[in-house]
Amino acid sequence: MEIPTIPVTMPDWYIYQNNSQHTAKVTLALIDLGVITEEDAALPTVQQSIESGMARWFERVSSGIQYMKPSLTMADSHEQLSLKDYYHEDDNLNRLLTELKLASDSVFTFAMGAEKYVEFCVNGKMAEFDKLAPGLYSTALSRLYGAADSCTFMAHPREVKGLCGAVYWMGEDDEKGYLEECYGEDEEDQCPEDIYTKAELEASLPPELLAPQDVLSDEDLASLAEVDGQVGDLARAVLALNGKGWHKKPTFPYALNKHSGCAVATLRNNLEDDTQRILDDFDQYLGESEEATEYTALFFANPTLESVKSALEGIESNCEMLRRMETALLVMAEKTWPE
Amino acid sequence: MTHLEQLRAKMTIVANGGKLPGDGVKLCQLDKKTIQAAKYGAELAKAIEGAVGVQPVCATPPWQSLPPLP
Repeated sequence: MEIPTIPVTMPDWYIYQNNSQHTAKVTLALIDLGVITEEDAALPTVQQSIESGMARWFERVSSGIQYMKPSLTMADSHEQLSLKDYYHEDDNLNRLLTELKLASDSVFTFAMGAEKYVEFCVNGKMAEFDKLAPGLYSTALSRLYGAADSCTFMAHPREVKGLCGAVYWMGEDDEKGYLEECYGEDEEDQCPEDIYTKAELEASLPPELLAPQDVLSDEDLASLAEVDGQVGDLARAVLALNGKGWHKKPTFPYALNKHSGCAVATLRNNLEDDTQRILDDFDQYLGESEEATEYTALFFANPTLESVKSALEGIESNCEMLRRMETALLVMAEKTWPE
Repeated sequence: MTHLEQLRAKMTIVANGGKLPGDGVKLCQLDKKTIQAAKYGAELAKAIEGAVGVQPVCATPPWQSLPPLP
């Protein structure tokens, strides 16, 4: 039986109702959490009630994000979220579920992806900041990457380098292992001549973008935060990225899945760099690969009040992180798409 | 009874596997005539009320629509 998908205009999310018992339990949790209100409950179907309540809740928790707008997908088990021919017992998603001791049909899944594509370019901003406040930009990049690691997938240079490993280098940091593997064979002509090399990557995305150093302390940043202008703006944005007390780590660990399609943001060196080529090659690689990989943040919830509550808190926290990352990026880089 | 209370009552039945809370009878196993009978209707009402603390309306399992209780 085909599983129905019902899109709503804003935000962009879908619900698949295949396991009514789970959905009923989650509905009860959403009523208790105040997500579904009397107004939602008056709608003709349960599905419409959930859609209406969740759409309003998600709009609220993702408000204020101008460009890195996330999307939310709900599914009553994780198989419904994945492509049918993609499900594989050895994939990352199933490994994660096994680690969590969760049966795939016993969880309700909330998946966060990107609603639309947004692109930023450094375009010489690093050199500009280095003249004004040495070390600030590198620290900002380092902390931005760290923030992105616990958030919905963002294609920043370090992440793009990781994609190169997956696509071109057999999971290694550079092409050497791949070349050795090729030349170890009798027929040397099996090795493609056009292999993308680490040198090419570094020519396109300089090492200071690929592996930035966290050189300034919080005290240094606090001093710079007092400065007027873009130095102060960036220092404050960086401090906010690792602000204590607000960022509750999601209770449910992330698994990343190839389904969502695009990153919530891309940070490039400039429009001439190789980022787009690498992302395109990665998409093609995913299409040919059986392995799950890193795209969408998933929150698994048992259909209980506490579990659903934790998942919603994780989603809210993820949105707050996106909001703060966007604030930093708007100071650190030029938005090149949408124009 | 508010719409929210009605939805809660319905979802409690579905979450319970379509069974009436307390007696384990699946709603889909009851025929229309039985459901409409005042006697069983009262029992059903009592069972749902006991489980969810609200006055029930039509408890509709997803696989079969049933008429409103008398």
